[in-house]
Amino acid sequence: MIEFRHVHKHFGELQVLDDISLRIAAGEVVVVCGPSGSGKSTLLRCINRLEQIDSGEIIVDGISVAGARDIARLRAEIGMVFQRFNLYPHLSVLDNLTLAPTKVRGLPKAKAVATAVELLARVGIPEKAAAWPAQLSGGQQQRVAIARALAMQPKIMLFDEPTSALDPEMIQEVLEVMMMLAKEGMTMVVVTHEMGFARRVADRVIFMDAGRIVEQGPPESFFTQAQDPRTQAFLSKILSHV
Amino acid sequence: MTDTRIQAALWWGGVALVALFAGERVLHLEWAAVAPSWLFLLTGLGRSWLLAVIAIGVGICAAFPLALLRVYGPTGLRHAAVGVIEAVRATPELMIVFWVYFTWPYLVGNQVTAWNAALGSLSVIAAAYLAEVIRAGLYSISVGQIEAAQSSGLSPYQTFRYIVLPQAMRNMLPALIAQLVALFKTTSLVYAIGVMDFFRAVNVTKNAVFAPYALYLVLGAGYFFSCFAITRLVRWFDPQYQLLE
Repeated sequence: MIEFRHVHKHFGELQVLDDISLRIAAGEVVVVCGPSGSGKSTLLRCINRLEQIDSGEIIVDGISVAGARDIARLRAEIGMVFQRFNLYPHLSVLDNLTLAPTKVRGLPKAKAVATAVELLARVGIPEKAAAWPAQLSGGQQQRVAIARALAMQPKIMLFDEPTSALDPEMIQEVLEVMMMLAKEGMTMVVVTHEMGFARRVADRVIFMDAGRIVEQGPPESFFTQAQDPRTQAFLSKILSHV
Repeated sequence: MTDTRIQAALWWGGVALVALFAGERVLHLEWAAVAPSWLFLLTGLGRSWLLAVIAIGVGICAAFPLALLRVYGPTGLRHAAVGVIEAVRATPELMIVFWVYFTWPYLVGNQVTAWNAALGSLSVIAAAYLAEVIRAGLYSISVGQIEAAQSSGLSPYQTFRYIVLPQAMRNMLPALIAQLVALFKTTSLVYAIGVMDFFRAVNVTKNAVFAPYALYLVLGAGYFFSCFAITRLVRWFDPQYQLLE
């Protein structure tokens, strides 16, 4: 579903992606972790071309991302959830969900609304359809953001540190929605420090450092038998405080 | 009593005091001499409003392309927009009025009426200042909003139309009000080229009937209530949604 072939990218002198090659199958749930500045967010953002790559190739659903003529069409198939939620503050929750389906897919308004109402129920806040984003808690905003991405019925969902801006008591409600998605077979790439989530739902955990994929594997072996000292050091730091 | 109530009491107390001492004298100003000119003065005020409304209307229509070019335009056009905006903003408004009325006809060789020169120069001034208000509004939208819109498949135009523009309009409102009020007061400059706006009408009346104190009071009140009305009018368009933190 997603393939990286020898992808390089740098910001000035800094090599943020250094010869990344990676295949993610349909239905796979991949968690990407690593210290800050390791390139994990950039890796994610290259998939829908929010960042341009310098060399190599990224293929999504059979289409080369760099060469895609109609990038909007490709992006419509890839849902994205941001750390800062990025809900549209001038639109109601319902309008947040129906904007792209009506404008991009050309769905009739009534149909988009029906889907939106259904999605809000699925993420557990059906009563918030008429609310403004500013009236919601962080956890609720992020669940709306997930529903908004799902409203386009994407083939892939990207999560860029979806719980990092949340108060601790709200993290679980967002993770539960993500787990539900994973169980339904959504292809997911998740940049997160939530190792509990990785352990329970990831098919594969990738550890990045300095723009490279240092180590990857299924969570059982990744958490107990990490080979590389950098992975071990990272895991000891991130797991010890739990 | 709450703080705001005490403040209000103090404020109205002050107003009452001033009214008590000044009110009596205000009543005895030269109102009888001024009264016959009321229609003339009102016409002047109407002309000021007409100037302001047309100049602001034309100005906004020109300010949007200027601001868009300055923010999104290709290098050459962007520099041209910056040049126009900054040239107008860095020169005295009165000089622009003179340029349009005197210099422009000299350069191109055909006459401009004072009224058209007034409209032209005020429109140019409005365009340059409003372009900067619009630009600030466009810049106030976070990259995250644009990324969210584009990652959902919206085209650049759709992102601008449905995400950037509505929020920018809301964010530019306070600056817009300040600018419109300033522009209304700027219309008084056309006094210098002989347009019979409110400012000139008051002065002409003053010279005819010699009632400066009453007339300057009328002058102040006319501009004050006009600007107050502008503030209220624009507030009326304020979309009432809450902003995120």
